[in-house]
Amino acid sequence: MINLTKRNLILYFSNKSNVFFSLLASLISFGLFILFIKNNLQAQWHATSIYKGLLDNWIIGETLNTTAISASLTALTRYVYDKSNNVIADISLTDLYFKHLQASYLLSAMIISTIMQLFTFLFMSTYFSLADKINFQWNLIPTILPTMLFVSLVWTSFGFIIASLINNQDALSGCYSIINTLAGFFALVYFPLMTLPKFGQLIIKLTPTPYVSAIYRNILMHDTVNQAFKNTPLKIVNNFKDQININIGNFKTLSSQFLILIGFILLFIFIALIISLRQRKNLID
Amino acid sequence: MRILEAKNLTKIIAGKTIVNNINIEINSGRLVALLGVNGAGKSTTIKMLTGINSPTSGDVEIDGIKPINKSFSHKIGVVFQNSILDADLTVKNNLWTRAKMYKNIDKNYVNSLIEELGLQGILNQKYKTLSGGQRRKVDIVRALVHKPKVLFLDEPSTGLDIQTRSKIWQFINNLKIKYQLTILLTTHYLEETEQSDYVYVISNGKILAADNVSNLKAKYAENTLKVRFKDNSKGIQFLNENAIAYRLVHNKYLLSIPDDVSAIRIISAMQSNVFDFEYQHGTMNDVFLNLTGSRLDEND
Repeated sequence: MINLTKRNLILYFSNKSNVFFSLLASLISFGLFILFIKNNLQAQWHATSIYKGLLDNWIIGETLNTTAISASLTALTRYVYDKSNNVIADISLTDLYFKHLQASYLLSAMIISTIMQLFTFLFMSTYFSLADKINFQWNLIPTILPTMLFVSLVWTSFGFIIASLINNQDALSGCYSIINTLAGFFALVYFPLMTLPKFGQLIIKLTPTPYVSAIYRNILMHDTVNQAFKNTPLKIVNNFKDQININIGNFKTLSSQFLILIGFILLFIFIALIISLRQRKNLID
Repeated sequence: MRILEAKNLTKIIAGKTIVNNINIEINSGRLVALLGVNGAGKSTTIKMLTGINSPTSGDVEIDGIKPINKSFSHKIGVVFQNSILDADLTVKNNLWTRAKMYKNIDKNYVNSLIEELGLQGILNQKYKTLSGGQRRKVDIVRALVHKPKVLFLDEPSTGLDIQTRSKIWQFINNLKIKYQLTILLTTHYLEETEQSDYVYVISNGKILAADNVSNLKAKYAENTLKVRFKDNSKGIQFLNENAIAYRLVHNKYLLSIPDDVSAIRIISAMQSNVFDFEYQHGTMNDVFLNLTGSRLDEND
């Protein structure tokens, strides 16, 4: 299993277009933010250094989410490619058990997603510390790294369901394009959740996207929110957190947001297992 | 000693019978060809024999072991029609990644395989930079890393030029001798069957004939003598008097001849009236034509 995981990692990182397309969605949203959105939001949030830090960490949070989705899905295209090109059939002739084979793809996708998120975090943090003179939050790395791994698991388990159902690379590319596009919307980058109609809010809350963004914002913006809203009534602070999608409905705390994501992971793994049990017979036919 | 036995193998996909009740028996150390046009059911048959696909009905056993048994895969090596190795990995990486997926792999054996089969010079090259023939060799070595007893090759030389095909065939023949392998390959190249110990002719999912090449030719192909006469009427008279069957094709008379001796006798008897002649032994294409109603080279 380790060998197959290593092989998947080498193949991913040796292909520059893989790496690029994993980051593309994030680069686009980051670019759009810098070019068009940042100034407006800064004006709205009053451009003091504390508020700048708030805004910058806010966009890092969202970008980490889109990077995780994009990287997980791109990494899992290897599984579909291998299915459709007899590679899985060849590997099934070895002593590797089928469940370990599948676990290899999941594990490599998780590692890839985590590494790409870490790269995004370091890149954006460095940019903002240079451009906006905000402090690079080194102290957050022990918290953010396990969170990245956790988020990778969310998106990898979701992506694995898609990759298990699709056997054709063209169909997979189309599917992933749709997911990546929707992810930007569902991550609530450009508008508060509560501005959407009730039905729209429900649809979004039924996906992991807003909770992942919320967790990242919770972690990244925690210190700056506390600084900015020192001695401010809790109601106002919560109202602000609702506006910028740190609170998602009744899920206002980090632990509640983690819990709901654990629920999503369990659901995705359950669905993936059912598909996998059915697929084992048909996968290489 | 019988090493491979397949009984009543059938595969039905979406209501269509792809392979229809075929039986294959292969003795140890033989090189056996499964000959048929594209779509005849060769690849599907190989997939059932290797346990990659399960048959709709029928049984397969290799060295007394059925595909459901995990140790079955240790008995076989498979070279797929399209390469399954990774273009962006080196030859070394590709081979060792696969080798390490087997338990108790003999590393010294793998190294000796690499050396003896001439891959040392390309070990550190990326697979995608190799020529077609080199890739095929690497594919074959991958299939041998775990010391299988039976090697399956699905159209091993498709897409290769004639010189490379010839080299790959030499390579496969050498493997058979060196590693005492039993080899089953599918092909639609007739010249490849000429080098086989035994041939199964498959068409529309059925085995039409199974024998060694000489017997197949003796049963299903005819030797022909093409003659151009100086005087056609005298030539026809001779043929009729000697009850020699003939037909006229493009100004030449095609005579059905049972053997080489008869051909020599006829030419000698007619030599004063023969302008030119050409003698052809029955070919596997004739075998295929007589069995299936079409020439294999028409389907290339």
